Amino acid sequence: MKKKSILPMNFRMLHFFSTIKEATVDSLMHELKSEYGTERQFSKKNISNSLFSMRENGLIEDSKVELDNSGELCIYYRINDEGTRLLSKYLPREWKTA
Amino acid sequence: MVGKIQLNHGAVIKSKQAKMQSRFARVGSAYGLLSGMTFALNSIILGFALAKGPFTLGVSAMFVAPLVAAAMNDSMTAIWLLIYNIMKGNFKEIIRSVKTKPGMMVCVAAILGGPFAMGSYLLAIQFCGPAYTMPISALCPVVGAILARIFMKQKLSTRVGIGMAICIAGTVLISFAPPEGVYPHFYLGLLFAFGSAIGWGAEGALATFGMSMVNPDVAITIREITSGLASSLIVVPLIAGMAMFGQLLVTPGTMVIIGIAALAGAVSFLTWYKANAMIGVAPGMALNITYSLWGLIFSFFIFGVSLSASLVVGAIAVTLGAMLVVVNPFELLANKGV
Repeated sequence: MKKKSILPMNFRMLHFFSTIKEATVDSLMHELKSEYGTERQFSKKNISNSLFSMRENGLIEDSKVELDNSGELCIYYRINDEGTRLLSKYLPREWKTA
Repeated sequence: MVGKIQLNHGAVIKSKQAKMQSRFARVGSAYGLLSGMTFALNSIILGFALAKGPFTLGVSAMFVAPLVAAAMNDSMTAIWLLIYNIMKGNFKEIIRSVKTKPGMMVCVAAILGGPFAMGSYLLAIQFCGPAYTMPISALCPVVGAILARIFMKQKLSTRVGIGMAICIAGTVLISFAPPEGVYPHFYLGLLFAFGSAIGWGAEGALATFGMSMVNPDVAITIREITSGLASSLIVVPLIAGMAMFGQLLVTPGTMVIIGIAALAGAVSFLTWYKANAMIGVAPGMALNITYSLWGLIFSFFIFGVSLSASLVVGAIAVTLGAMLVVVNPFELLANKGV
């Protein structure tokens, strides 16, 4: 079986959302740590900003917002129709198989 | 969920979310404005470089010099952006992104925006000066809207139509009275400035494909690397500019000036793409277009260039018209909660 290429991180984040119902920045980082964990771009601040940008550009949306123990916002995101459409158009073939 | 308070803190959540959103919009808008200011600086500094050796040697230099300068400017901008991305640990992302379809689209768009548009832009600066070039090139969203109408069958709304009409009126005002004496090929310069608007308009229309899936810092770096390589390795040899390119490399004074211009260019492109990612492509472009007005302000207050009333009024009209083409001012204000 052909080895999957490593996707650009934003791409992989969007792909990850297509495999689950919803995710917070923490749960997303937990899942992608084995792929990008050693890279400098893999910081909570950077990923939170990327998620906010993806939301601003209409690829994902909020599914639920809560406050965590320290009173900080905890946003759950999910992929929307536009995100799914772009993913099916641009995702490399080897990543399309479930 | 472990560790999460599930109580209904509706009001607190709403206010925190609004605060976060407004901070994001403020930072994104500041990036957009900064991109306009630094692009104006890039153009003005390049205008200075074009008046120095080796760009002034020989009659043929008139056409060759701006394209050689454009190639060096794009290449040095790419180097600045590459340094920035390496410092941010993004180098691997550049390689990964360029292998994806949106990454390849950025490369295709870069050929239109780089060698074609930037080359025309600098030819225009050579023939009619930065103050006239900037407002005419700011017509690029109008071109983008026309291309979208022709190729994507997008309807032109009344707002876009009014914006275009204001732009045309502004353009007529700018073109009507050429500056006295300084530019014997003034109208040729304006023609090249229109060429740059066409190149950037087409780039904008192309680059929207899947761009939102690529990290903006990485996308702009791919764009500049492609553009720098295409300009230096294809355009410069085609116009027989290699000798001048070589001379430029051994002229430290001019190289430093282009290096500074390219730094302003790198900041401009980086902040433009960041603004696009943070507040959306249309508002990002609307703020970036203000470079035409910043250009006039810098030319007048810092560099002491005299400006005619028709140029100032025309540039304001083109900028406002172009902003109207890309964004609905009422929607923009409503989104920001103003």
